[in-house]
Amino acid sequence: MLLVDVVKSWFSRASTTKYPRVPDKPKNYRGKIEWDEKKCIRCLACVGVCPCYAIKFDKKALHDRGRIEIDHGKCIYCYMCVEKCPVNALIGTKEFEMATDDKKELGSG
Amino acid sequence: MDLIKKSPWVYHLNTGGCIGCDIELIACITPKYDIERLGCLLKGSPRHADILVVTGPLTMQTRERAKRVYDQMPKKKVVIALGSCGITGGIFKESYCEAGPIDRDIHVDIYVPGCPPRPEAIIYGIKKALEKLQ
Amino acid sequence: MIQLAVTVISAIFLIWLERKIKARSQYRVGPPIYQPIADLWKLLQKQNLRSSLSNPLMNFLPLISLLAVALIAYSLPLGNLGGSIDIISLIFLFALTSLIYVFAGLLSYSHYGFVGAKRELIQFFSYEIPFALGIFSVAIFAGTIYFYQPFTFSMVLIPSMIAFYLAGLAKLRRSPFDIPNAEQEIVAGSLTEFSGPSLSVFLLSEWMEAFVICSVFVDLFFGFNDALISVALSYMVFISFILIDVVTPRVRLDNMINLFRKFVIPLSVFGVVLCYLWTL
Repeated sequence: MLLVDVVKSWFSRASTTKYPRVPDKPKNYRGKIEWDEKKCIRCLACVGVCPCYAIKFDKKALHDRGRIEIDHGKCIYCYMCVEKCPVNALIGTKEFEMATDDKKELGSG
Repeated sequence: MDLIKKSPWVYHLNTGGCIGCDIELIACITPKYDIERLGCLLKGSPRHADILVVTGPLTMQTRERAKRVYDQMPKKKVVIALGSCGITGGIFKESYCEAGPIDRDIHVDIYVPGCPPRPEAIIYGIKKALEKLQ
Repeated sequence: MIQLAVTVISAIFLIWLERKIKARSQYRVGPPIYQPIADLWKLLQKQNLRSSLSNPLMNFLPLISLLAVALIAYSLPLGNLGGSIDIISLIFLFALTSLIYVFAGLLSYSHYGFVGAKRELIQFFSYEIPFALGIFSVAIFAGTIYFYQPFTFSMVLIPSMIAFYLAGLAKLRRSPFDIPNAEQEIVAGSLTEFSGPSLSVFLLSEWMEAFVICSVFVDLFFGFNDALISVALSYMVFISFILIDVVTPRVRLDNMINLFRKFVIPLSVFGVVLCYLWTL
């Protein structure tokens, strides 16, 4: 009977993970992508493979060595760039707390 | 004493995306991430709500309707743009009926990136929006 | 005055209890105890928007509803404290609180309001007869129309008690008869176009109505002279309403009309006739 289950549930633990107090980072989660400058060989494979054109290459930055800029607002977190990079310069972290009130913080227009 | 941080009421508007972000928003009221313990309720009418959560990119059909829904909400309101489609058009950019990111028509307060964002990221976004409201 | 204060405090407590019990039954953690007060206070500080097509009288309706419920709450007998109302006014005021909900849906010029008002009116025709006849049968049995003291229990009143219980469940708009605000899951029913302070007054009058109906049920059929036992029993009655709410789905409108027409209304008529024949 449903009533028996209802009354039983009042005395069992709730199955809620209370988010702000309990940080929850599961394995295989696709979070924010970070760029490691020292490993990068500037082959631009990531710029070519991104389906959303979220990765841009700025030739004149960093004293003419060139910088990879990732637009986190355009990114769809498919991680094709992470798989494609031959030297593992793009690293996938598990960070997701990126809410902001300024688009420029994320790198978008 | 301003108690709006203790009971934010949310109205959810889908302006034409895939419904990935909507599923994650509805997942917030399931037992695993219960937002009712924070006082949040998902309401049916924009006149009852404080927070407008817009998912999906704006399409040509929903442009003026989204503006009308925004006008129907009473004062002291915030707008949250959920997902990458709301920030820059996301994966639907340059498609045949997409009409640009959300802040062409409505003033957006908080952007939550992700495709789709996790329920915990949505709760974090709601928390930041409430701080902006006060 | 004490009855009014008890009603307001109990209304807020019972609404929190309802949300907490529903949440715990679904293995969730519910809202904290100050949640209903936070909701009302927040709504009082928002802007009062109104669509230009709706009637300006719309914003007076919540006040009338609150006044009607407060009048009943002010004059209820609560154990030793005497009441000051008679049966005819009681039935009139109870009908008024439901009809205000219908008018609210009609005056706010929106489709959802019209549909919600129509459904509430159809439901009103079904449950008001057993509700009124339940109260009448107790008056006939006790021989007086003045509701100054709680009436005591008697086996003869059992058919009227069951009919009044089911009619009370329908009047409070709870499952399985929560058809007028069914749309709250989908849209919002009669209260769609209310915002800010009007909405908060409407919600408060709905919450107070819940406690008042449970208290009237206990005073009519189970009267005790002790105030604390009466209040505790009305809490138990409300918890039984919540339990039925949690386990039953919503019925369709014509199924509800059939149920009332074929079972509850004949039961209440039988109860009145039984009470009258008993007093002969």
